[in-house]
Amino acid sequence: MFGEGLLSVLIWLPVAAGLLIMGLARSAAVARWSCLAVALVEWIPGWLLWRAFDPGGGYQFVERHDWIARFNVEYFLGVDGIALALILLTLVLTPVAIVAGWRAIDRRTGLYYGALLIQQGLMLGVFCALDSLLFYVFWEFMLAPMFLIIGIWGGERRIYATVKFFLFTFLGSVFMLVSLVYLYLKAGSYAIPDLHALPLTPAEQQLLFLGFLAAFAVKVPMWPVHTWLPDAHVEAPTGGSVILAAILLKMGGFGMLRFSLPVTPDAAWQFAPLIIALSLIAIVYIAVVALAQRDLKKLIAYSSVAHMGFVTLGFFVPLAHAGAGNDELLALGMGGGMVQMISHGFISAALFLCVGVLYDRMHTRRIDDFGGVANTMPAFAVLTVLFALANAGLPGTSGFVGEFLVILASFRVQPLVALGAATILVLGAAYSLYMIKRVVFGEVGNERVAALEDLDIREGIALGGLGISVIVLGLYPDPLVELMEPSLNELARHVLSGKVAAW
Amino acid sequence: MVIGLFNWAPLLPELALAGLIPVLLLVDLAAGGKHPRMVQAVCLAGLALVGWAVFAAVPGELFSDSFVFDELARLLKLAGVLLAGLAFVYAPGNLSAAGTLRGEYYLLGLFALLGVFVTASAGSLLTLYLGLELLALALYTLVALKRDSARAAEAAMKYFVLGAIGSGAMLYGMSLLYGLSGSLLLSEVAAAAPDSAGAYVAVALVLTGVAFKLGAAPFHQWVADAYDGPPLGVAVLIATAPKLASFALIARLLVDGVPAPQDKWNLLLIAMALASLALGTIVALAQTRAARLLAWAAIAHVGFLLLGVAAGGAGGLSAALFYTLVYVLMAAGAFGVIIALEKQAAPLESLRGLYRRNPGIALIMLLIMLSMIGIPPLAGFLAKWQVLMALVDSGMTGLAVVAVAFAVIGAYYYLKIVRLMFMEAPQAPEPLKPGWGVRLTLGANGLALLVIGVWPNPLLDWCRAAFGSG
Repeated sequence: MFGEGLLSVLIWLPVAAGLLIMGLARSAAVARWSCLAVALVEWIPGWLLWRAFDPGGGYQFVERHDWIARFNVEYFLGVDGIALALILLTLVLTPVAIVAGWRAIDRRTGLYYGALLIQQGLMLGVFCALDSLLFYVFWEFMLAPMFLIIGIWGGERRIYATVKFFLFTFLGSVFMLVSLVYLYLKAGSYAIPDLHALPLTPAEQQLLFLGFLAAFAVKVPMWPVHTWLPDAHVEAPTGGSVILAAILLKMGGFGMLRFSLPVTPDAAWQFAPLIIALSLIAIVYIAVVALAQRDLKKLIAYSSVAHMGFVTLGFFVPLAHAGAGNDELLALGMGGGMVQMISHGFISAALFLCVGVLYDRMHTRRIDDFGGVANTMPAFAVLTVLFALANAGLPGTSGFVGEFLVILASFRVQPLVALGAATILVLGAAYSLYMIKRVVFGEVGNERVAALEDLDIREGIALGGLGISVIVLGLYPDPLVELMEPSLNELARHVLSGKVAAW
Repeated sequence: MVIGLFNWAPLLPELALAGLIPVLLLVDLAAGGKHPRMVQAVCLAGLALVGWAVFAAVPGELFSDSFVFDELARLLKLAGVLLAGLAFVYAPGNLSAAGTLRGEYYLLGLFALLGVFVTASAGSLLTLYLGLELLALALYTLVALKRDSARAAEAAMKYFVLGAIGSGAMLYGMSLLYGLSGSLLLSEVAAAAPDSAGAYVAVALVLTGVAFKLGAAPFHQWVADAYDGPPLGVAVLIATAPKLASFALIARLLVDGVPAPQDKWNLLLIAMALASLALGTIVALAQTRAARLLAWAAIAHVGFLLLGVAAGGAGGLSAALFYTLVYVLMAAGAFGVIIALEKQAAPLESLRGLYRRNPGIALIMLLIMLSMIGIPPLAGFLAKWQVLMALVDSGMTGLAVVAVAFAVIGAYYYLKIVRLMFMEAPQAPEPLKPGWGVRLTLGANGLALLVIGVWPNPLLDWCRAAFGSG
């Protein structure tokens, strides 16, 4: 009964509010508080959405109107379980990103908080779009606010980082655009369900798959196109890093589930060994790279790449299974990848926030500058250790659930792959604990650490909330899994039925 | 049509414009010295009347079909009126600082517009050439408006000599077409001329002329100087008006008027398009002056547009038309911002910290730059997207991939401008306050890109209607 227009409200409320804040907010306090208020008000449509959603019901809250009639482009919105999970993640984490910049952002606050809200609206748009051109519009315009956020409020090498971020992502996306145009000319429609149903020859699928892969691999990011990420994460302000790591990276995985797997299922099956190999390289090699980092943010950034390798592994490893038609296994792998994405959203947001807390006080991110923080900031230390362990996949935290599911799926396909994947548990523990040892534990490193003050209320609420989420998701992931399960099963059946037979 | 009875209705826009010119001359003579604002006001009011005339004019043919007024002509003429209006609002600040704000600017600008009008309605080789040369002569003079400036003189010289060569080549090609077919009428040339070697030579020469006028590689040498040499108020006209006229030339001549089928000469078009894309994009990377950057970027845009023409069919041509119109709007806006910024010619550095000096103008320029990059949902994206669809539809997917790759490289220099505006400290921190007329027009110009992007249906349908419905 709330269905009509709910998604439109969800998307356009923050965009409109962001424009207003950009234009009208004259003081920093007004900009901050109104931005936070809007992000919290967004929870209302989000909650309604969640309450009214029926996991088994396919695409829901559909809104469908003509947009560019000549080319059959529609304003077509709707969500399934996969999209809804990511929408809820976005809604929960945006306030965290806003709070992250509370003290650090002190100039041009109107532009910053406006851009942040517009960014939120566009990200929600990506998850809601059921027309591929509309998807592309949200996907691409998202670059603009992020470009400004990194470039204006970032660190020393912010301009290099933000231009690299923009160009890498843009390069990937334009190939997706060509793929979409090709699909439109075949199907006569940009609607995603129509593209799912469109029969395609294996040769066509291969090229289209590569076109989509260009866009999604950059966004995920997969090795070897991950190099923009350490730069962008390190230079971005804390709020920007939170948005980037916690939500923006999930676009790539979401795109794979929306396009790569269902539109080109046979090519996905053919290319699975390639994706698995790239994922394993990301998991093992990038985790080793993370071990060697001296900059806290860089360490977390590389750890994000390794964790995202897990996501793509989960999506593609079941496809390599010799016995075809095993859609249960595929649903398991994809579910593992999805849980991993949600969990990584919370953990990476929390870790970046922790770094932000330290940076706001000491204006450094070098690991060597810290030491013995636990002595002066006990509450902070407890939470940081929790998140670091969750990052390493400690059972009982959300980090464990996704990794376990993916390893389970891998094991049933190829024990060797599972072995490779499981090294993240070891290496993840290694870099996380090594970081903890150097930053949190030990003697007080220097007088600046000795002068540190513990978390204030604002930081405590944000980090505490994230901590509770991580533990609850780890102990009781059922609601999340149940939300996504029917959609994933449906998707798995579709992918494994393939398109060549239909052709 | 009854012989001896003249139906003037299709000619209404030209008549209105031709009537405006002497009126303006008199106003300038009487009041120009003391009240330059008044000349501007009369000029803009007159343009509004001309715009109404374009709306009101009735489709039809005149002078034994050598003058045609159809939907294509209406659309191009409206765009011409619009861009002249934008230029006349933006330019005075720049021109008066350069000491060249005289009535002649408006007069020559209107003559150039008349050239665009005549070209847009050309039904014969003669009318086509007449319109193009009227436009070109007015622009040559405008470039040299600042007589004592060495840069302007150099630009005028280059523009004139190269333009004359281009016109010569085209005229030669046209004479061959006439010799082959025995007719000047575009509708008869194609039918009457044999598909022969002579026809190919003629087409190649005509294409050369088209490339010169558009500024497509390898006939692009005049572009950078013509954008950067004269005062920016003149450059804004040079950046936009010839694009409209050249598109009219392409649509009238290449589509209906040449005897050889398109697939025979398409390779030439594609080669020019790719050369323009590559050269324009790569050279623009190294520019340090705003107008030169826009000039090289324009060459890249022309490459994209020509790909739409090469894709052919109503889809490709209407995509190219849409691209031309959107480009004109973007270029006018970009020049408008640079003019508002700096009273004289502008190095890129003058964009530094624009956001702090005037956030509104910086945000408008952000929209224009994003549109030039091709970020949806701005109009520039829709233009590129349609060209891509036309390319893929005609089986040239490879070209589409190359084109988007260059679009990504091109993003770099537009981002450079965004970076300077938003992420650098201004050189001169005092706020920038151009007149309210300029501010309003800039705002409308930038928002138009967003509005067209979000609600493109009317313009899309109009562009398609210009090439027959379908």
